Amino acid sequence: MQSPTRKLLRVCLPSLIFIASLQATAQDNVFTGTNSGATRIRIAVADFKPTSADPSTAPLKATFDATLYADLANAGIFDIVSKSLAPQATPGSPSEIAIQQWAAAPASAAMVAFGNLSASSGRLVVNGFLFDANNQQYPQVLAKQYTDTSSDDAARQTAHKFADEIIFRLGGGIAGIAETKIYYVHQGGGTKEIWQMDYDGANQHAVTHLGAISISPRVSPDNSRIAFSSLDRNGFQIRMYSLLLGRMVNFPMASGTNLSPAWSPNNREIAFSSSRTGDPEIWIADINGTLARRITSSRGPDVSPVYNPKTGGQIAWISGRTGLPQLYIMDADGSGVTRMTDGGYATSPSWSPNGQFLAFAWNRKYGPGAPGGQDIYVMEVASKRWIQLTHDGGRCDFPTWSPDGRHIAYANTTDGRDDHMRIWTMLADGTQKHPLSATGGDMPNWSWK
Amino acid sequence: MATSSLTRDVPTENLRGNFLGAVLLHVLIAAALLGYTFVFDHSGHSWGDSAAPSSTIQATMVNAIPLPPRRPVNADNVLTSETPSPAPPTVKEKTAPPPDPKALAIPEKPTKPLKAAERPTPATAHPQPMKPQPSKAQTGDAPGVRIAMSATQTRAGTVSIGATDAAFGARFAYYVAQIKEKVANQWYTTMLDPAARGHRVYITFQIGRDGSPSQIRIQQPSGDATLDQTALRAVQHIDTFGPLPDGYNGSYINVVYYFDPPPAP
Repeated sequence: MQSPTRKLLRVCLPSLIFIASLQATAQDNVFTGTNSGATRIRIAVADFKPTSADPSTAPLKATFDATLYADLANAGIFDIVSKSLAPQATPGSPSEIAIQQWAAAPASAAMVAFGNLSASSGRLVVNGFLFDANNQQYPQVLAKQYTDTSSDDAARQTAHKFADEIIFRLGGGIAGIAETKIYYVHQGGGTKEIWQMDYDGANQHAVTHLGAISISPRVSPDNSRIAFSSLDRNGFQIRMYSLLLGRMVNFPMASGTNLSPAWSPNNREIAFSSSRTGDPEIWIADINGTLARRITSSRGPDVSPVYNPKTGGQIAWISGRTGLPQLYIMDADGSGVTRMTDGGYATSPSWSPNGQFLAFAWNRKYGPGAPGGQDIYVMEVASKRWIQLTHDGGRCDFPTWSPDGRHIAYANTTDGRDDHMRIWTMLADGTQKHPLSATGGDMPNWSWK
Repeated sequence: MATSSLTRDVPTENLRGNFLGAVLLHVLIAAALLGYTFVFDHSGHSWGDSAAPSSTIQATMVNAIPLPPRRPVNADNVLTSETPSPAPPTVKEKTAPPPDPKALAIPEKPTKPLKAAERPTPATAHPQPMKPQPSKAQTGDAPGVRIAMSATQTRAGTVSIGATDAAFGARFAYYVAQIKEKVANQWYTTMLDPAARGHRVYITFQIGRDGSPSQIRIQQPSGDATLDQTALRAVQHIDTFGPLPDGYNGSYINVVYYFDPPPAP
C-alpha cells in the first residue's frame, strides 16, 4: 500500500518542483523588469592625455588605457560606455573637461574617469580623476597621482591601482581585485609546476621549479607563502614555498598521502587531508606542520578542506562516508557535521569571502549514461539553496572565489581531457565568462587580497 | 497371505494433498519475497541515480553576492549590449547619373512676386518689475541628485534618504546614492505583513569615517512591527558603506532613511 504512493510521489515530485520553480522565476522576472537595472553605474573612461613628448609615452599610454578600461569592464558593478560612444576630446585635467558633453547622449555617463600620463627620464607620472557627471556643481569624486618607473608592467600596475580605487569608492566599500593574483598548476613536459598570474591573465610565470607533480596550490592570507601538495618518492606530501624568500621552506613529512592544504584566515593553521592513520581524514596543524591533530574519524575518504574565510570557525570539505563524495560542513573542532549536497558527485569546495556561499563542482546525475556533466554550482550555506553557474561547456572543476566575492575562477576542459584544462573567470552570477590561461592551466587559487 | 495382508494394511498413499501443500508453500514463499522487495524497495536511494533531489530546490541568487541586479541585455541595442557591436559599414555615396543629352529642359513658369502687406511696427512693451524666482527647484529641473533628500523606486519599494548635513548631500551626491542602493539591496520584503503597505518607518544611523554604520535606531515607528524590524535588519546587515569621501572633514555623518513598502504586485 505504501509503495504505490511513494512511486506516484516519485514521479510527480519533480514536476511539482518544476512548476513551483517556474512560478518563482516568473515572479522574479516581473520584479526585475520594473527595476530595469538602474543600480548599475554607467561609467565612461576617457583616453588619458599624454603630457610629455617622450617617445616612450605612447606605448605606455596604450597599455594604461587598455588595462584601465578592461579592469572597470570586468568589475561587475559598472555599465561601461563603449569607447566609440565617448566624446572625441581627451581631457587631461579638471579644467579641460566639459562634463555636460559626457553626461549627454550617446555617452550618457554617470561617472567619468580621465587624466594625464607622462613618461620622461625613466619616470612614469599618472594623474587620474573621477568625476560625477550628474553633479555639475561639485563633480570631483577622486583625484590621484601615481609615480612609478616607466615600464610596461608599471603602467599596467598603475592602471590596476587606479581602477581599484574607483571600484572601492563606487562599489560600496568593497576593495577591487585588479591587484590580486591567481596561483595555479601549469602542466607541460611531464611535470606540473605552480605558476602565478595577474587576475586578468597577464604576466604568467612559474613560481616553483621542482620538476615534479605539484598540485592544489593555496596561497596564505598574508600572501607570504604557498602551500601545495607534491609527489615525490615518499608519495604526496604537503610542501611550502615562501614568496618572500623565493625558495622552498621546511614542512614535515608524514606517512601516507597528504593532500589539499587550506589556510585558516588568521594565518596560523593549515587544514589538510592525510592518510597517515590508514584512512584519508582531515587534519589541522600549525603553519610549521607541528601539533597535527585529527578532526574527522569516519570510514571513507575525507578530503579538500576549506575554512570559512569570514569567521575561521567552520570547515567545508568533501567526504565519501556514504559512498560517492558529498559536500559537508563542520565546526573547526570537528563537531556539528552537516551534509550539504543530497546526491551526485561533489568535489572542490570554495567558501565565499563573506561566508554566505559555497562554490563547488558537482555532477548531479552521476553514473553511466546519466545526463549532464560536472559543472560549477553555488550554494547558500544557510538555506542549502543552490544555483548552477556553468552549462554545457564541458567538464568544470576547481572553483575559487575572488576576494571581493564578485568573481569565480575555475578550470574547464571542453573535450574532457585533463591536459586540455584551462582557467576561466566569470562573475559570481555566471555571466561574463572568459578564459585567462592557455591550455595546461589547472587548479586556480585566488589570493586573499 | 502375509504379503497380501501387508499390502492390504498399507493404505494407498494419497500424495495429492502433500503435493498441493508443497506447491502452495512455495507460492507463499515466492509471494512473501516479492512482497518484501515491493514494500521495502530501496532502489531510489543509491547515489547518483536519476531521481530528482527533493530536499534542495533550485533557487535564484539572493542579494548577498555584491553584484547589482542585471537587466536582460537587448543585443540589438548597442547602448545596452555587453559586447559593443562594431561600427556600421559605411554606405558608399552614390553619384547622380549624368543628365540625358537628349533631354529637354522643362520650361520654368514665371512666378508672380508676392505682395507683402504692410505691418504696423509693434509698440515697445512697458518694462515690468522682475518676478521673484521660486526658491524651490522645479520638478525635473535639477540634473541628477542635487538635493539632500532623494527618493528612488527600487525593486524593494520606494526608499528615500536624507543626510541631515544638507551640504553633504549636494557635495557628495554619489556617496548618498551609494548608501541608498546598499540599504535597498539588503531589505528583504518577503517578511513584510501585507498590512504594512501605506506605512513608513524612519531609521536613523551614523556612518563613521571608515564607513561602518552605528547607532542604528528607529526614529519614528511605522505602526507595523514587520516593517520596523525588516528595515532595522537591512541596516544592521551592512558591514560598511565604504569610507567617507576624502573631501569631507567631519568624522561621521547622520543619516535618516525611510522605507515605504512596495505596492501590491
